[in-house]
Amino acid sequence: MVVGSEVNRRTDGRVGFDAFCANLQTVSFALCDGANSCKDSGIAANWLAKEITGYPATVFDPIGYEKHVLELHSQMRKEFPNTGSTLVWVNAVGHKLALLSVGDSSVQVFRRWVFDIGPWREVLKMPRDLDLMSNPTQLVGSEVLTKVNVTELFFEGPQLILMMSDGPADSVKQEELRRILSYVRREEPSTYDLDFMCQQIVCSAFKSGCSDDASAALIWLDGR
Amino acid sequence: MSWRKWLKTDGFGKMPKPIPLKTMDTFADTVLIELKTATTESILSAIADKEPLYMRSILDDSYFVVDSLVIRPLDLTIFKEIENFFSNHEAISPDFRTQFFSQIIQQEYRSRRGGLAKVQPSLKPVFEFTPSRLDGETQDESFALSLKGRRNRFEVSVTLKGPIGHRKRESDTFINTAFGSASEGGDEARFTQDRKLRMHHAKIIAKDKRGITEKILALPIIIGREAAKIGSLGDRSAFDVDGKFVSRHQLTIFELLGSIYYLIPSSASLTLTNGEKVLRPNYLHRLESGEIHTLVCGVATDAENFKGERTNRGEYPEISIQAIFPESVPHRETPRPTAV
Repeated sequence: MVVGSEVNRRTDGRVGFDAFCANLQTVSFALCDGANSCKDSGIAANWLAKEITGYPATVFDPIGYEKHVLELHSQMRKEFPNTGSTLVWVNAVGHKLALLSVGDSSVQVFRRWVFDIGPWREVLKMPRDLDLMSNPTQLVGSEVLTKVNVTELFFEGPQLILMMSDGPADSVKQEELRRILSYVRREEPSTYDLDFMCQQIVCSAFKSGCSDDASAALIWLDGR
Repeated sequence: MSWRKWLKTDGFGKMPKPIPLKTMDTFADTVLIELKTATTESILSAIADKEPLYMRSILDDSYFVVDSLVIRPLDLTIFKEIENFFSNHEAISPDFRTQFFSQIIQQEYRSRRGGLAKVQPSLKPVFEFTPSRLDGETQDESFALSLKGRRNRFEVSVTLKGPIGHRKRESDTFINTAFGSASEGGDEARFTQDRKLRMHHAKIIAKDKRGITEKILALPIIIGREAAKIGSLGDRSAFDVDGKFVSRHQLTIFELLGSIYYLIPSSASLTLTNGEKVLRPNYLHRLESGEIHTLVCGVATDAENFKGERTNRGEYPEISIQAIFPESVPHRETPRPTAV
C-alpha cells in the first residue's frame, strides 16, 4: 500500500478548506472538502477526516457505516455549527474495499484492462451529490444530510484509488487523468511518485480554470 | 632633477605594478575548470540522490530545477586569490561575476539514468566562505595531498527542486493564414480558461517571409528571428518572425503591475518603427487595452528618422501587437446546503 497526496492548493494564496487523512492501522483514507462559504468549515473538515479514518471497521457493514456517519454529522453540528463538509472515504476490509461518499467530492477506482498489464481503466466511480448549479445538495454537518452513498468492491490485483475535491474533479479531463495514471507501469510506485502524480492533477486543474481549493490523493493497493 | 631620474624615483617608480596578465589568465582558466568540474559533479550527484525515488516513466516526463548553488573555497589562500580576482575584474566590469558564473553553469545536466536538471537563467550561485576553513593544512592532510597529488580547492552544494512535469504550454492558439488554417497547441477553450486564471495575453499578427501568422500568447512573450530558441527555458512564450532585417531577440512583451509593456532589448542590433518615430532600445512602451501597435522591422538603432519605404515584408516584417487583459472572475464559494 502506497499513499500520495497534494492537498489544499490554491492559486490566490488564500487558505484552503480541504483535509486528507490516511490511517494505516485501520487501512482507511478520507478526503473532506469544507464549504468555503462558512469560515470554520476547514477546521470541521479536518476533524471529520481524522474521526472517520479512526473508525475500526472489521467487516463490510453498510448500515454500520451510515450510522457512524450520521453520528459524526450530529456531533459536527454541535461542535462546529454553521459549517459543512463533503466526505469521501475508502476502507480496506479483508478482501473488500468499502467506499463511501457524501457531497460533491469524487472517488474513483482504477484497475488495469488485463490483470497487471494494459492501461488503467475506471472500474468504479462513487456518486456525487450535485444540483443543477453544480453545488452540493448535501454535506456532513450542514442542514441537509439525507443519504450516505456506500458501496463495496472486491480486491483484485493492483489498483489505484483516486480521491479529488470538486475543483479538480470538475475541471480535469478523463484523458488527462489517464495520461497521469499511465506513469504507473509494472513497477510499484513510491510515495514520491504518487505525490508527483497528485501535483500533476492539481496543476492540470488550475490550467483548466479551477479557482476552487484543489486536492488530490492517490492510493496504490495490491490485492495479490 | 632630470626627466630620467624622475621617472625612476617619484614618477612611475611608485606606481603599483601592473597585474601580470598571463598569470591572471592561467589562474582564471584553472579556476574555471575546477569550478565547472565541481559544479557538474555535485549537480549530477544531487540528481543521483533524487532519481531513485521516482519511476522511470516520471523521470522521462519531468525535470528537476537547480534551486540553489553554493560554492565554498576550501582554504584561505584560494579564497583570497578568488576575491582579488573578482574585485580586480569587477572594477572594470560590474557584471563580471555573473558573466564568469555563466561560463561555469550549463543549461541542463542529465544523469546516466535519464534524470534531467535544468538551470533557470535567474539562478545566481552564492560564493561562501566559512571561518572554519581559516586553519592551514594539518599534517595528515599534507600527507594525503602528497599521495594524491591534487587538492580539491572548492566544495559545491546543490539543492534541487521538483520534479516538474515538462509539457508544452497549451495556451497558444495558432492560425497561419498564408498556408490555410492550422492549429497548434491548445484551442479557444484553453485560452478562455487562461483568461479566467487571470493571465495576461497579447495577440500578435506578423507579416513576414512566411506570410501572415497570427497567435494569441500568454505573457511574457519574446519576439524575434530566434525567439523560440531564446524563450525555450522557463515560463515564456516565443514568437518567431522570419525576415531579412529582424534581430534574433527583437521585442519583449510583459506584464508589470497589471499593465502591459513592450521594449526592444539592448541586445537587438536593429530596432522598429511605428510609422511616426523610431523606437529606441531599452525604453518601455505601454500597450493600452484595445490599442493595436503596428511596428515595422529593419531600422538601424542609431537612425534619427524613419526613411524609405519598407513594403517588402520578406525583408522588413511587420508586427502588430494587441493587449488582452484577463477577465475579472469572482471567486466561487461552495454554499452550505440549507433545508427548504
